Amino acid sequence: MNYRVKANRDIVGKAREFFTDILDKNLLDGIIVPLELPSGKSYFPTLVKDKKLIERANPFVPVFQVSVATQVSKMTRLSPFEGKIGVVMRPCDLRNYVELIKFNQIDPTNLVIFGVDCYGVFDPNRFKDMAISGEKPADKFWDMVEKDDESELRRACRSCTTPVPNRYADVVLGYFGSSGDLLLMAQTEKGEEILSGFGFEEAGSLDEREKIVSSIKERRASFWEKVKEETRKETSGVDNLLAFLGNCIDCHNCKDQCPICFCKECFWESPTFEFQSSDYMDWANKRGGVRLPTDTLFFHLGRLAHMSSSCTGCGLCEDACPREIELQRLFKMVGENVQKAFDYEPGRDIEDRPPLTTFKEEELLELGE
Amino acid sequence: MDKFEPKILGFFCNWCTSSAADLAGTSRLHYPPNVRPIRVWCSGTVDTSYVIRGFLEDADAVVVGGCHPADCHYINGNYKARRRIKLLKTIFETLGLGEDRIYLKWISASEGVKFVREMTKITEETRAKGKSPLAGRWDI
Repeated sequence: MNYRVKANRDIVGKAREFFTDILDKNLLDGIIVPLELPSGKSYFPTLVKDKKLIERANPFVPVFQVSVATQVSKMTRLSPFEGKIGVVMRPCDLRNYVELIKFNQIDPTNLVIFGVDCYGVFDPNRFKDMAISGEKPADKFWDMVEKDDESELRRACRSCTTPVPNRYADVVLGYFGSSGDLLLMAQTEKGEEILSGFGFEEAGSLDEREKIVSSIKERRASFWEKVKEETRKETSGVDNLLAFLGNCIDCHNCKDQCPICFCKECFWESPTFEFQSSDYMDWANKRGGVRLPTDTLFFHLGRLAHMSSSCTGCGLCEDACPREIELQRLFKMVGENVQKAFDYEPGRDIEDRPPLTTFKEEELLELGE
Repeated sequence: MDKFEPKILGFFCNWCTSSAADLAGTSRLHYPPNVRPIRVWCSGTVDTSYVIRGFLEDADAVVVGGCHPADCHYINGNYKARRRIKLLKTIFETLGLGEDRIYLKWISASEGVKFVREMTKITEETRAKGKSPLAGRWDI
């Protein structure tokens, strides 16, 4: 069932009221939602118990600091939540969440997922600069949504074709085509259970919403085609690829922030990469020299082999790179091809097996002779 | 300049392709010395990183050899190998790194002749292609 909360453009305010009521009515034992930090300059997902804190909440805040899916994975690794916990997630992260469930990294028991419409986010450093200079990025964002001007959002978002949550959100908090109201849409029984007690009015026609969403998708798909073509040119061949990745300092931040890179003991951090001095000399003798740190290309190719089949293109890798390597478009481009090869789409269906965890006897017959 | 001799790295499963190599040897068949065979228990144990590392360590081609479909000693290792090879080929193709230098061959223990034929063919193909673009780089 779809509901409409008259908001008169104060969509965030109505969402806060909604979450406050949920805690008030004890419908949930806690909610994980982006909260403005006391500094007023930043937002981070926070597990909120005290409804007074909801005053600082902004489920639509245009900054994506960390993967909430990763945080939920950490929190439920040892045991699921005992009471019901709401989790606010943007669409890309919701796809990460589905992937992590497939990999047995999240216990979804007792989680209620609140998916949010997402027009996109600012680069986190830009968001910080704007917040410090008093530009109020969280407010400015709504003007951009209204004018449909995405020029200042990060590239990953401008090329994202999933601005709305998938079917794994129990409740969708929407603003596309809502005429300034907050849309609340139950997609599951769990979601309906939460929403039904509120007496919200029915949403009425969502045609406008569908029109806006499909126009955003179309525009972003064609932008992505352009970006992909540029990326292909810029990264094709060893020379180009090494130029593209050339500033890698082997910090592994991209891997650490990647929601799909969930391994507790990462191969790339293992003693496999502790070499004798003589090994370095062997390489230097053979090739004339050896770039230090070495094996950065190996790291990126290996990471592509490990996670590209589930890459959702969320862009947290790129945000985390201290050398500003534009990893997202590289990984999304390779990921798309890998996913096509296995007829797989991350986040599409929780029952799909990730390509490298399964096989069929009759497939890929062109390989192996 | 000396004639280019490709280095070919082979990961051959213990039960089929490695046995085929043995059979080729005991049958006194010759195959090119360009092939550096590494015996692994199963083609399914060949991690993607082995293949990538092979290329970064100057291999001009990498061959994974396993049992024919339905004949895997461990029931289904070769099917897993096939998916990994598909994955690697897709990544290499997307990035223009020479996906045609990655080979997957099903060679059973009785196919010593096929082993020689395939290794000879791969060596000749790779010789014609020349050095792998990933080989010998100091800046990787």
